[in-house]
Amino acid sequence: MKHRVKLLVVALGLVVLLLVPQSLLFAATTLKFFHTLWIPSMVELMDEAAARYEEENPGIKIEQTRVSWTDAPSQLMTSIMGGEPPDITMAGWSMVGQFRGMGAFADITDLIPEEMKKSFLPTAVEGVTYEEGRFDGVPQEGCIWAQFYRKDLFAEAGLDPSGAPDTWEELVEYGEALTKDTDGDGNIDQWAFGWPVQAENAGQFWLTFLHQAGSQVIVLEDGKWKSLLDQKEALEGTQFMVDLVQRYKVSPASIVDMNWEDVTNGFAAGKFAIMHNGAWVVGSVKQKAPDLEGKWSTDIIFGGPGGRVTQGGPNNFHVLRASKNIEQAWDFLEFLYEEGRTADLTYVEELANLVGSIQWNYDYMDFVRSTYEPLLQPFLEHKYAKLPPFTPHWQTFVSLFGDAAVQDMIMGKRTVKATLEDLHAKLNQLHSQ
Amino acid sequence: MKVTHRIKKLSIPYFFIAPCALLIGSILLYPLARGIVSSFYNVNLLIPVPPKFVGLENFIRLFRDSSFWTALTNSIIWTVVILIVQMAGGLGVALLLNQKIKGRRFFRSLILIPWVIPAAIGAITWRWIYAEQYGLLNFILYRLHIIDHYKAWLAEPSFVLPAVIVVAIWKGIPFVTIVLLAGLQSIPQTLYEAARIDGAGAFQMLLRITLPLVRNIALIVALLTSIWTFNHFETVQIMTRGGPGTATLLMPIYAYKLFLESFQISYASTLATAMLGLMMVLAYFYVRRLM
Repeated sequence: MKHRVKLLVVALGLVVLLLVPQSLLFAATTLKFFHTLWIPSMVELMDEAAARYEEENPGIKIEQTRVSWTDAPSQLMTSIMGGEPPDITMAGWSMVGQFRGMGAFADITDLIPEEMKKSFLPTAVEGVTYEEGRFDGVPQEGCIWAQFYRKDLFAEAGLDPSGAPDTWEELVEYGEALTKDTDGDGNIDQWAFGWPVQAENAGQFWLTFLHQAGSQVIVLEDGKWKSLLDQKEALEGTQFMVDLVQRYKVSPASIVDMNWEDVTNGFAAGKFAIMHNGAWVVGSVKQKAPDLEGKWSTDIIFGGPGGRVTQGGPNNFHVLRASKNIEQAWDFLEFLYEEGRTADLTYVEELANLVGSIQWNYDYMDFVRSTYEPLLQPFLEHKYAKLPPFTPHWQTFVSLFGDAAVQDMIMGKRTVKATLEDLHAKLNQLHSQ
Repeated sequence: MKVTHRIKKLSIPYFFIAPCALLIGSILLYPLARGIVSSFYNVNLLIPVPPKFVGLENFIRLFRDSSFWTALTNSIIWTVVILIVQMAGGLGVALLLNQKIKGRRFFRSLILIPWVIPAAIGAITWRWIYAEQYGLLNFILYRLHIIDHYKAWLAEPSFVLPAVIVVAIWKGIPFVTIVLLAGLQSIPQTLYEAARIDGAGAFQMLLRITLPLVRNIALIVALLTSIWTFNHFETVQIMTRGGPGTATLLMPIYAYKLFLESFQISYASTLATAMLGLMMVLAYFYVRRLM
């Protein structure tokens, strides 16, 4: 009888060990990882990396939460306010300023090895430091925007098809030759230049023109954010953007309802001879218009009085200040930055490689310059890339006021000077709260 | 004993409805109350300070906010136009479907299609229909020589609001039709027979019999349609996001921007409270007419 009881206890114990999750038995640590990866190959890679880390670190479980790009800010905010913040989050540009401003990110300066800090490109360092030398994140994949142009339409217009315009003046000059009524019905159906202005694209691309004019947009002075939208550089950049539609008429007003894909469709269909878009669009054009092979190319962005500037920069990984596992969370991130499927690329570098994007460190730049196809080379010019202002209320500003104002100016409903005065006041007012 | 028994008997129904009431209370009433209370504070999730009671400051700010007035104007135009067209169109279609025609059942099923298609799918589909380069609308109108070039319907300020209103009407008209049809079918046929004997024409029967007898059900449908239309979000959010500019900025879109893009919780609650107030005033007038 006693022997049977003993056997029963042992059997029950084995069943418990086999069926009950290890985390319950061995007090495992769960790292909640919140990200916006959606491309199947990237998702697969991250799953593989997480599984390998768990295998090498028994007792650690990586719990991934995937959300859409547009929902990420509200979902992260909900998780923080609901008392269930993730340990690690991926953050796009629109999120960094907001969440940094509310103190959501942990300072991980002392956790990041010095060598790793020195490996980050300058634009990337700008994006992950909240003050000189203090890091609250690490840069990961993010692309740069550049020009796409139709060599065939250039040749038809008598323009040199070996490159796109280099300056604002050249853009207008090319524009006049490329904008035409191709079917003789009295309506323009081929426009020189297109860029997305729908919804959040309006404010995003407006920044490019501001930076090209030499505007700094907003600066931190004596601990306060101060708008520079009342300066002449801001006026010049905004006016040029509006003039492309209203004065030079090389872009249609209908871009106010175009996102990146609409502009890409227009480029493929010959509606736009030149477009301003991101690196991922290279693959999109190839897929949408395989018959255009050899008839289009890419080039670095044109420059204005303030020089050649385009939008671009990394998305980041941040450890949340509210995490109870900050060091463990960093350990997983460090794993992603130091380990990989092969000896050539780390996991984060391979994430970028899978989509033709950039992992913002010097080693990776050396790798891509020698391996990426010619069409992607203009998207590697990180020295021209500029991030948006990471102020706590920049995103509020563009969402509530900036995007609509840019669209109204492009449609000719509002004048540039009066609108900038209004926006200048609103930007200052938001940052005085 | 008798009193205790009486109390027990009276209270039993309340025990039965208690679970449902608790559920509704927790899902609807509690968040509603919290939202209204929040509108008297200064909560902005991007500014992590303890909440402070600010009284009517948010409401004063709202009344001085040009975006609020733009959104309110657009919302009123949106609601009134959709209501009128849906009620008139819905009644017309209901009258047709009430006739003894061949395939009546088939047509009654067909009319429901816009209603059953998810709003998001409908909005995406209509966005394609309105697309400048490859949209079906431009294709048809151009070939019928009604337009001389392809138009960007959702990019032109004068067209965009009517364009999304058409989508909302298309989506909502089946509900109005089906409910009014039910009302029409409840009218005794003997009334029409008697009227015909007395020499009444079709129009007179419509005015003197049909409309008065569907009045109450029409008022209920109009109330529901007004509230749903005023609070409608997904069609505009998917098609235009409130743009271009502020051409299609509606109250729910503005509330979304304040809540989930700017995290101005208290100010967004103020806007939502204002919307609630407007709807309650509207509902009051409808219900008064019903009594």
